[in-house]
This record gives sequence, C-alpha cells and structure tokens, in this order.
Amino acid sequence: MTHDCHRCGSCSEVCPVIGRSRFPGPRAVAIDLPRSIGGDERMMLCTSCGACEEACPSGVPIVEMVLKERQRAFDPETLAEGHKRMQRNIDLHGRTVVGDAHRFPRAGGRTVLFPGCIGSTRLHEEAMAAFGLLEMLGLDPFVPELSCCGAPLEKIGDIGRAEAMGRRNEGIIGRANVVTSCPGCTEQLSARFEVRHIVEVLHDEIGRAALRFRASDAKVTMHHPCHLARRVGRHAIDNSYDLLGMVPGLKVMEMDSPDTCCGGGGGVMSAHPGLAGTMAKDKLSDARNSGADVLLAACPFCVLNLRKAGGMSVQDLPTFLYRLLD
Amino acid sequence: MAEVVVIGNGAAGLVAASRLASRGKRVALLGKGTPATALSTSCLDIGDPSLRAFLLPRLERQGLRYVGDGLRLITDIGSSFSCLLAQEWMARADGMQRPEMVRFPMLQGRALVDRSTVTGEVVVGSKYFDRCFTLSSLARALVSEDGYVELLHALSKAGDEILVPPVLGGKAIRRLGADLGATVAETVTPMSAQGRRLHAAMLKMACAEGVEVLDGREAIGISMEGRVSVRSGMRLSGIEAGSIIIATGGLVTMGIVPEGRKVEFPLARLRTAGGVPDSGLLCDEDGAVSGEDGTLPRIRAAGEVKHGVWGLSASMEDAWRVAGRLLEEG
Repeated sequence: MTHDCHRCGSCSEVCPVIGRSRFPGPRAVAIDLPRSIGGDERMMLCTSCGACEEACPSGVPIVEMVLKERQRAFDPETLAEGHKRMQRNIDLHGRTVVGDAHRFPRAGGRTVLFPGCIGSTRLHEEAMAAFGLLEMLGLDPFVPELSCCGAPLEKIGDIGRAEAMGRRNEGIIGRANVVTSCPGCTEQLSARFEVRHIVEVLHDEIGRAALRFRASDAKVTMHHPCHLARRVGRHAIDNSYDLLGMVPGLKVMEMDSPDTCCGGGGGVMSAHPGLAGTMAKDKLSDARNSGADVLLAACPFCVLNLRKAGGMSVQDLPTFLYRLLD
Repeated sequence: MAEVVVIGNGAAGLVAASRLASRGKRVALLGKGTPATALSTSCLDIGDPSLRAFLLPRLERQGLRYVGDGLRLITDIGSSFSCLLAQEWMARADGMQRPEMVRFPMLQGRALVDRSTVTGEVVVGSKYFDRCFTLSSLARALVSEDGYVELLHALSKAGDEILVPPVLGGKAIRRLGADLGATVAETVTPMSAQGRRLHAAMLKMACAEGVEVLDGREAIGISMEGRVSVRSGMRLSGIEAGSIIIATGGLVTMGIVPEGRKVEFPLARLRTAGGVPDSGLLCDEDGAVSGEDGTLPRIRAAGEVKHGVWGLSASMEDAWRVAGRLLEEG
C-alpha cells in the first residue's frame, strides 16, 4: 500500500486539518510517520474524513493506514483525557458518552434501530424521529439493549474494546436487519450485519409506504457527512437531495464545500475540542453564506459538533423530514 | 437503464459522454475518484478539428479561458520546474511536427503555484531524454519487451534522478528504476489549480449536455450483455446499458464477464501498468472489442485498449471517435 503512493501530495492538498493544527498531513502519518516519528500524538488530529483517499489518484487506503498506525501505537497511559473518559464510559455503560438512556416504546420487532451512543444519550428527539420514520415505513422497529458500535474506539486505536463491543452487539442483534441514523455506525456495523443508513431506507421505501411530505417554506442547506458520503456511499447524498426535493416549497441552497469535514470525527471532538470547534465554525459560516436558515446533516455526530458552534439552526436531516410527514 | 454508460470521469470519458448527450442520447457517467485530468497542467492535445470545434466553445461557456492557436502552445507559466519540462517539449514538438496543443491557463491575478503534470497525449521530455515519450508511448514501452529495451536505452544516460510522465505505473516504474540503477519518479503532483479548473469545466459541460454524472461511483465489473456492476461506498448495484464505453485510466477490477456464468478468469481483467497488461481482447480502430467468446457488441473501448494494453490512459481523441461511431450506428 505504501508502495502505491506516488508522493504527489494530493492528500495533503485536500486535508481539512493540516493547515489548522500541528497535524503533519495524511501522507506523513500514513506513509512516512512509521519510519520517522513513530507513535506521535499529532496523528490523533486526523478526523478520518477520507477526503485524502478520495483525492488519491492511486487509491491508497490512507485512513485505514492512519488507523492501523494509531492501533500500533495505542498506549492507554498516554491517551488524551477525552479518550480516557470515552474508555471509562465504555467500561461502565457500554457507550462512549454518559447520559440518560432513552426508553424506546417497544421491546420486540422486525428491524433493529441502532441509535448509536449519541442518539441513545444525547439526541433523544432525533432517535425517536428515526424510530417514528421506521414505524411509518412499516418496518416494525425495535431497539434492544445495545452497546457502542465500536467505531470511536477503533478511531483511537483501542481495537480490543472495539472488538468486545462488536461481539456483544452480535449476541444481541443476531441476524436481524439493522438501520442506523449515524453513518459512522453504519460503516462499523457493516462488518457484522446487514445494515443500512436511515436516509437510504427512507429513500428506498417511501414510495412503497406512500408517504408524503407537507409543504415547507424553509430555506435549508446540506452538509455531507464524511462517513455518509465517502463510506456509506455517494448515492446516500443523492438520496438526501431526492428526499428534500419531495418536500413542496422547500428551498434547498447549495453551500460552499458541503463535503468538507465538520471536525467532529476520528476522536477529534473528544480529544481536541478546539480544533473540532473551529472547523465547525467555518462550516456554519459557509452554511450561512448560502442564504439558508437551517443546516441539515444526516449524522448525529456532525449535528452535535455543528450545534456547539452555534449561530444557526442545525438539524438532523431524518428528523427534519420526519416532522414534515403527513 | 441508460442508452450509454461511460466509465471514467476524466477528459476522455467526459468528452465521449458529452458528445453522445449533445445528440440526445441518455448517458450515465461513472467516476470513482480523482481523474488524472484534475492532476494535469491542463494541456490538451486536440488534433481532431471536430473535437476542437465541439470542445473549445463549450469550455469557454463554462468560464474557462485558454490560449493556444492550435499550432503552438502559449503559456503564462514560466517559472516552475514542470513548466520548464513542458517548454522543452514544445521546442521538441516543433521538430516532431506534433504541435497541436491548447493550454488552459489559470485565472489571471492569482498567485501562480504551478505543480503541474500533463495528461492525454502531451509529451514531457527532459534534457536527459534521448527521445520524447508521450504518456501513452511510455506506458506502452513499460509493458512491451521491445519497448522496454528501447526505453532503457533512451534513459541510460539520464543520470540518477529521472522524472517521467505520470502513468501511475507502480511496480513497472520501480522495476525501471531498479534496472537503471536510478531513482525514477513520476511527475504526479497535487491536484493543480489549472487541472482542477479544466476538470470542473468539463464536468459542468457534461452536466449542461444532460449527462447524468454519478461521481464517487466505481464500475467494478462489466457483463458482455451490457450490465455494469457499480459500487457506491457500501452498496452494490447495477446499471443496464445499451452500450458501454470504457474510458478509464485505471482499472475495472472484475473485468468483463458473461452474465450468469461463473468464470474463473474474466475475459478481461483490466489493470494498470503494474498488473496484467494483456487484456486478451482484440480491439479495432473504432474501439469495438472482441474476446475469446466472439465480439462484445455492447462494449467499446477508448484509448489504450486498441494497442493491446488495457487501462493505462484513456485518450480523449479516441473517446471522441468512439462516441462518434456509436452515433453513426444509431
């Protein structure tokens, strides 16, 4: 993989973190760091957004290599405080964040809704909206007692805990179909389960369920969450636009760089909130400049990070759509 | 379902798709990532007058300025290393009677950081080269026995560090370096401002002509019957196509297979220079392809395939011709 690198620097060119922090760049970490600097803490500044991989003309799996490097250098002692906190929460509650776990209406059903750590503890309304959407689509959702999908743990190199969480969820979910509202979870769970993101599900099933949206005169713009656009797949972004297009009267503005990372991913929000915050601020300024009143993102993690920056209404895309359903 | 699916979102694919769409065909274009066009100096070799007449006004409409009278490259970039290479080539190209080249310069008034490479049929030579290789001829030389010997000879006096055009050759380039006892590097550089502008303008042109551009979508396999297997992130799907134009510079991993039949080896496994160069397919001037099982009427190849080398670089002019042939056939 290292050999495929042509040293062209396209990855560093598009990296959203490199100019804002001491991050030495995707190539330095993925290709050069193992030989020169070793387990440098600066590599924890990568948000794993994947823009580098998209720009790479040779298809080098840069993010995977960065994560491998984090895994190799993993040392519980030297972890950032935010990441230690994440581990403590995992050990105590099976989730990365603490909060009142939301109670969902039903115990059994056909489709597992995986609300993720953020949906379970922080964004209750959004998690309920996802549940409501699946109900309206006739998919008979239920939410068993689930653990973290493991993605945040893998991002900080803690592969042991990530595996343990994965196995625990496997025991609970079995062979059921899974729907997530967090694209990070979608990617992580795809290794073990049949899983779709809720935007894909809504797009694919809305016709069959004969649902319609009420008219809205809102002006919205869309952030393309990294893990939705570049992991779940570009079709999910098309799906999102298609869905917004079904809302009569809705004005969809195009913001600058909708693909650029909000700064929340890769363990950056918990360990380097300053960096995550400045990236989110820039994102919101782009969103405001589009003329929109509402910034939509189909990812609870992005929503959480973008809301912290303030100054504009930030809403979870599926929740926004759920509220407009007749 | 599309009348034509074009695989490859670089200059070649976009030109073919735009030509077909401009004549009313329903065209979908698949592109998995960053094409070489976006890495290029935006030098285009447009010898074909019909392509020139089609392309230049459309690119201008998308806000792209260019210089070049069709006989000589005019460039406003004088200071950078890669441009020196290009200029040196110009001098040679005059002697080689192949000066048809148009360059799309950067916007005026912007600081010039030229980290350019070239794409298409543009030649990059250096003063160490005994002869000039185009992107295509270099790619061919790397994978053919005679060509390779000639290449070694041409580079034998080149010194310790050799820059070659960006064929994304991987193993083949490393082998060349080992055989020469020199460091051989491809002049692949970050997406240049000009290259990106050119690519963006071509994309906009294709959209304006009505091409359905499916970016971030990778064609992973082609069936002889005309179905393209597509990967978008975690999702696999398929597009039924009346015809398929392969205009990739990279690879179609699963190659071409007969539908519904399990084959151990696909008819063509399309790889870059470091992989399997011989497609086992025959290809005529119009890009029509035939394999061991006979002709593959739905599949057309643009670019290097007709030289027996798959997937090294797709030539824009080839793609233009192939699209024209499809139109003639209705």
